[in-house]
Amino acid sequence: MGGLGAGIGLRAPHYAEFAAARQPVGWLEVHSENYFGAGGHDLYMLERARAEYPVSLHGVGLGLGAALAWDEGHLEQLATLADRIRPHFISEHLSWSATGERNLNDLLPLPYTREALALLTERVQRVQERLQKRILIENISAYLEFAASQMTEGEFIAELSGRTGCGVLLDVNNLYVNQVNHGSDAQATMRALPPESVEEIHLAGYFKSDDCLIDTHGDRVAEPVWRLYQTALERFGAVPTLIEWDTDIPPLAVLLEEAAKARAFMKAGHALAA
Amino acid sequence: MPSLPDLQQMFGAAIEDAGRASAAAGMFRGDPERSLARLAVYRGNVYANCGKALASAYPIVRKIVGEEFFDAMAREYVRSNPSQSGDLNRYGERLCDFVAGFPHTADLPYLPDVARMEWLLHRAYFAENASPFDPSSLARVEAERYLALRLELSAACALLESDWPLGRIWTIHQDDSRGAFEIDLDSGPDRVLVHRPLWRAQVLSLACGDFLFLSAASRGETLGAALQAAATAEASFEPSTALARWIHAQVITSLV
Repeated sequence: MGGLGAGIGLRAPHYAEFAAARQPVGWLEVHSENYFGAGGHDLYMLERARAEYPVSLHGVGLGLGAALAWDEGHLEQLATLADRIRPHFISEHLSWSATGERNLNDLLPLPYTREALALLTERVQRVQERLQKRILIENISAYLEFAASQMTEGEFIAELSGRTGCGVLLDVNNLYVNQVNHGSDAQATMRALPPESVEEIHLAGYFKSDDCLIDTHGDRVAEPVWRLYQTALERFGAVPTLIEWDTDIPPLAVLLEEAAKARAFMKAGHALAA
Repeated sequence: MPSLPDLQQMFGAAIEDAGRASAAAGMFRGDPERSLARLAVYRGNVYANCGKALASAYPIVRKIVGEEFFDAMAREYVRSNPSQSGDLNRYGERLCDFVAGFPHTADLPYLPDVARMEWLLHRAYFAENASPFDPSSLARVEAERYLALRLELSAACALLESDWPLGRIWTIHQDDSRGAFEIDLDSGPDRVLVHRPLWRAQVLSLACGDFLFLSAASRGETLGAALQAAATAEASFEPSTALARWIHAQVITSLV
């Protein structure tokens, strides 16, 4: 099994446990924006963690796909943080979040059009040029699909990766959520992605509302998502896998259990391939 | 086919205002009724994300007005004060002005100043770490030039003057606060320093002399002028004690 194995998100309620002892995780991921301050406790804890673990910076606020808004200052802050942390991965979402008037502070879906592809290509190139590093782009969960789309999500991401050289952060939970919410084909999305493009996988839990699945990152990974994960491992190999948990954060032990489960699937997949 | 900017503009309008959602529902695949319900999910997320940011920046305002009231007020604030950054830790700066003009909190006249203080605490939490004062930096300065030096305060520091007892309000709302919860709102004006000794941002009520001294310093006035301002206003102000105290507290980080 190569690479970093299974990681978890570093979250404030678990700082003390990370400060007290080495935890059995291969790597850690944080939301970049939470560490944009010039100093303070969060940054201190992240720097301490970085001394012991590989760290991935996962952005939630850059809004790569916003046609009417682009914040060069936000990119500058990300660059400052990246200089400080020297992360293993830097990732962003295939989404937009701002109009000209306001930032909506959410990961909003894009139409998969040639126009959107051209914009994303330009933005990803700009980010990679400023950071002097290849970034990973994550597929998002969506509650709506644009009628204007001219290609599938998988085709769009594969094309973006081909044009910019960016890698893919495959969120398997998001694939499943979208499949339930609007019947997109999770397997087809995975087949559309070149095997070598996927460098990281996200797993998380969703919340089932009356109408659809909501991507809350607030529960254990669901069974159908574990099954999709096994398919992903077959296609993409044992790529570093993250357990994401952002709302109602449980005791650290729960995250470690989920990470151990991912690790077991990686090993089993490796045994099959060998 | 509408352009990407048009699609996003319509999507944004539908999230901001449910009344404009039906115009956007046609952009999506499937039943427009279902699309309206899904747009409402996004609307809920947007308001919840901004509301969480406000709750995290303004814990005392939230305790004073109650969680339910705060959440309703936050919705009004989010509607009228759009977020301008992808970094939600920067959201909410104008809550003090908002509560000052909010009719439903008119019976809490101290609330705007509490909000002002909490924003300074919020910024202090993320501010650059203070570097300790380096006495050797004075070694090359002749003693008679000391009074012409300018003081630099740690980035987390801010000063605030209020008609209300802000220091006391802050203290009794801390989770580890012990003792009486009583507060005399008519105890007269308060002058406070917001600072962050290590990681936790704090509020300290100051005597008039210290407040004027540090305020002058934060405006970039010379040590001489700052000490003069303090001594003129407060006869008992002790220049050397004050200087030593604020250097020791890492409020004053350098003299240049």
